[in-house]
Amino acid sequence: MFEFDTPVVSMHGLDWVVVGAYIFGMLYIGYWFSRRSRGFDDYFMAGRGITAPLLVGTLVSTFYGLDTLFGTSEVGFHEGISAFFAYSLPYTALYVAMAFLSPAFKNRFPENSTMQDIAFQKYGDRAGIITSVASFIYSTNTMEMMGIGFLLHLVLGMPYWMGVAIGAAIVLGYTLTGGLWAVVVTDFVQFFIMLVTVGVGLIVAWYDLGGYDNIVKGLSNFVGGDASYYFTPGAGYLTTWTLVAYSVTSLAVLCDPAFFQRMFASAGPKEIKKAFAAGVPMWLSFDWAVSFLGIAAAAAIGLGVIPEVEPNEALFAMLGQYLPVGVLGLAFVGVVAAAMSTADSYFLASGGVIGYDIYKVVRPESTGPERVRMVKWGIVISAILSVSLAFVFKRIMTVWVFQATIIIATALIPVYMGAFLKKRPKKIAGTLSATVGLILAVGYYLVVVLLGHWDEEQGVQILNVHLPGLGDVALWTEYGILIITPIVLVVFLVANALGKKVEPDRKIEASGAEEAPQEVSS
Amino acid sequence: MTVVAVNGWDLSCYIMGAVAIVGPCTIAFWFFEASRKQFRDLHEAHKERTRSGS
Repeated sequence: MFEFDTPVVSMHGLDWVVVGAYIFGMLYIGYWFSRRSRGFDDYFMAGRGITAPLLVGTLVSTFYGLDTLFGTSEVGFHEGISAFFAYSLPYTALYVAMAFLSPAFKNRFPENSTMQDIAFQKYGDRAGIITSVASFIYSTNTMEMMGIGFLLHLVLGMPYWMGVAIGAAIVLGYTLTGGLWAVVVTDFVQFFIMLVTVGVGLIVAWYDLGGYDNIVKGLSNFVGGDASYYFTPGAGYLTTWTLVAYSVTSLAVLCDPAFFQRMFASAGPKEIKKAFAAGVPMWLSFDWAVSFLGIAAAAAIGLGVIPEVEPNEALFAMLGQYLPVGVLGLAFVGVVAAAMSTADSYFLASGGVIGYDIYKVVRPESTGPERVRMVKWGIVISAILSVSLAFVFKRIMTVWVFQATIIIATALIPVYMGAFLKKRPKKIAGTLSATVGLILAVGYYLVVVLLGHWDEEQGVQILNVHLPGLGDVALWTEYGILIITPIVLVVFLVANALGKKVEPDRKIEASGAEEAPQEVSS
Repeated sequence: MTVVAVNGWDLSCYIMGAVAIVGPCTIAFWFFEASRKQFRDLHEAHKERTRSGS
């Protein structure tokens, strides 16, 4: 059998063969599609022909990265099933909402390539560029780069920087060469591996630990007292405000650039609807498995089955304990796959911001091949930035909160108002609300981070302020979304009511080339 | 024979674990079936074109 030490997990030679085959497979898929890619729509939009099964794989694996894998299992390890009910269910509710919204977007904007196209189309270049900047910041892959560095350090003991660089190089390899087709197909393989390994891990671990009764005993030993809160939804030390703070970031699902790219690249609205309908049970089962593997890990420590490990190592410790040689390699691949499937999608999305959204404003007459080249440069710039920021941020969750605040504050209101308001909104409403959202999001985050302090107990950055009428208030970075989004909504409504006459829509062509906006009719 | 008491949490874990295993397999099957149908349709269309061309 394989050796298992904590905190460093040892793997057998056969496991490494599996890992090597996986990496080779991913790179080969990139190479294969690079030889078949013809033009911008093929490279960036997969020829707009992604069918429902492939969409399920790419949607599920893109949104579930290492933050879900390690973060949710860590919450499960400490809090029990609150990890699932408080942290994961809000996301699932929004996936269900997207099942209805996505076909509507595809119907209304069949020629679009990105979410930012809606801002360009409805409000003009300024609003388009501001939402593009927000999308670029959001799509920067710092979280996944940090996760891969951490993971390779855990398994190989290699320096963190080396792990980050290797992870970035592999993902860049197949994303740069193969474009969206390569990303979607590799995502599908990664989706398969990550779900099956956590599913097998949960069943085997839960059964071997003796089921619920024995696990409760293990948890009591682990916490040194009553552990019933592990199986009480919303219990543990999570306060109402912690739960609110966790769940508001899920609003990012509604304005995720990678989601929008996929819905516009799909073969049709029906395909998206089917994909979300099939994807929701997959998301739920993954969340459940990861949360309960966290609980099982705490119980296993209490029962003396595995040695004491760090909470964020709990999931991999459990998989290492229960999976045989070869399958452990597959589990490692599943964990790496969770990171890679997210990283490749956002590398491509952020590359698209530079090579498509911004470049079409700089050079409206640019051709398809030119835009493909610029998207590739954008991917490289995004990768360099992601790797660099992996050494600036100390905690994975702080990156996620920052990115979610930026995209929600900047894009949510203008994009949805532009897409669904019956009467076409005014240009100034979109431009002003996006600008205010971006400035407030960055400003709020900087003020709380620079003037506040890190609270170890809550695991959040807090700024204590005294507000007239409200007294002492503790501002968390997470509250930025709750404070800024209503302000942005008010700005949009006021500007829309008082602004000047509406401009016609800018037309977007399927090829990615774009017509100039028409004259304003007065 | 050992009788193990199974409660709701046990059952939920086994069901969710099974969904995580069977779900991707079903979707992979769906993908291959859809691809097979697409290839068959393309092949039929090609044959039809060749026939009408000759």
